[in-house]
Amino acid sequence: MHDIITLKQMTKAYGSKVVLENIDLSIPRGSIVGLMGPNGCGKTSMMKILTGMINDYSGIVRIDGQPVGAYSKSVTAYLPDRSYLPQWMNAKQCVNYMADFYRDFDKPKAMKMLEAFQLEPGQRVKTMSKGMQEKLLLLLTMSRQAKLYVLDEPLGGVDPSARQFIMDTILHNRPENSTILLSTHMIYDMERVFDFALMIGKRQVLLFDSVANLEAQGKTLNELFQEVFPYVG
Amino acid sequence: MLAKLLKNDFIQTGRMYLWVLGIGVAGGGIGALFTLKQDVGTGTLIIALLWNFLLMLAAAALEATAIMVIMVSTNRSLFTERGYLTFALPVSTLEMLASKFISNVLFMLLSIAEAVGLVVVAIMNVRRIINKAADSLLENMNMQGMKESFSAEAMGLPTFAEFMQFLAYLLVVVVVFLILAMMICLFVLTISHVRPFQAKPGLWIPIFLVGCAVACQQIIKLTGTYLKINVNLNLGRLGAGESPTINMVTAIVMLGLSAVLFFVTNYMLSKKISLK
Repeated sequence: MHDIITLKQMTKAYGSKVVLENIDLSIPRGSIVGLMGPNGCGKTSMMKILTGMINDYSGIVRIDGQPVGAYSKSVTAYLPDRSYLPQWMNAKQCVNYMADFYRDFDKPKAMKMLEAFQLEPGQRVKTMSKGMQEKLLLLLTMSRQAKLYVLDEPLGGVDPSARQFIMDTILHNRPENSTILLSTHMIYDMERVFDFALMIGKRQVLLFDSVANLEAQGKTLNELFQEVFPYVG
Repeated sequence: MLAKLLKNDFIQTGRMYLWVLGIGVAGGGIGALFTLKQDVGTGTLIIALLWNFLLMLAAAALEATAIMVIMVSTNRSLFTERGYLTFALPVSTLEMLASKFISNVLFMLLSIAEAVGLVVVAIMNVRRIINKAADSLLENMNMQGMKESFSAEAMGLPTFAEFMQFLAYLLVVVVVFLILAMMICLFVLTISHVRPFQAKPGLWIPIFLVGCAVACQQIIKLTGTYLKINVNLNLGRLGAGESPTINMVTAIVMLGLSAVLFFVTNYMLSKKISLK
């Protein structure tokens, strides 16, 4: 069986600035992968390439053995680092929209989550606070029975209790054998959750290994991160 | 999936667009109210003529607004933050583009139909109001015998049948031009979000629009030269009094250009997009 994500010689440049160069990477199924790296290292670019938001790259990208396209998007649930919902829609319309397009979207589950998240089905996106919009985006993503979840900094800028709530939602709603690729700077909070750690920087994959292997070396992820990316003041 | 995309595109563009249609219908309705009045004095005549003149101007404004609304809606759903929703959908870029193209062409047709409808209503209103005013005037002057000389027909305004004949010919021309115009708009919109043009879309969009228009004109002209026929580039006269061969060649060249632009746009959407 194919790995869920395969990258071969993948390069992405913005004009003359290369952010990812000749990346070779295979991510196995059923794992939770932490994508880490300093700001501007290409984490978001990599996620956008995997989900089809960026398609002007070179090299080979395969999701579930297929190139990025209609099929890969049907098995990938993407949570970007911004709100993308039409402002005029209400929460229920957003749920219906997703159910309309994604066969793996579990509508009853989404409606239950709306209630659990204390979101009014009739409330319009434009009247929701930033936190409420983030909750709605999270529930729309996690209501899918996807093979791959690509989550771009779902914990960015939220308080510790909300952080716990978000992580619980992700972990409890994830189907068995699905893969989660999650980018974060909250390494200390997240290392207990990750199966694999993926660190990128200087246009390359600097580290990709199982957390169990890394722990066997007697180092925490946080310590490794400091080693791989020493702070230059 | 195309049907679902179309449904959603209709809802999204329709939300922004229906108020434009509503204003047009209301304007036409008010214009028609003047014709219900039995006695038409000078004051009513002036107001009615003015209103219906404004109605014709509104028809032109409606077209400009329709293009803007449709392009803004397309731009929002593809290239702003909402693009993260659109590009994540499990559909091919071909389906995505086809859906935008079909819904935009249909909305434009709807707006053209309304604009033409407004002009028809305005002309018919003017005809009725002039006939009534002439009746009132001649009655007051005891000169009913001269009614024929003052009628709208005598003043050269087209009859309903003449107008409908003109519309039928116009419809074919409009659809062909609309398809090309919409593809030029979608192409320009897409290329303005592709490197290196995305840096200054405000600068590139007018350059591309003018470039496309000139290129289309030249290609149609060259095709005509190659086929040794004098292709008529006067849009208003296309189909009227020209030979069917010339019109057909022009239409085929325009549809061919539209197809080329469609596939180039699809290529850019599938290979050259980098959402911010």
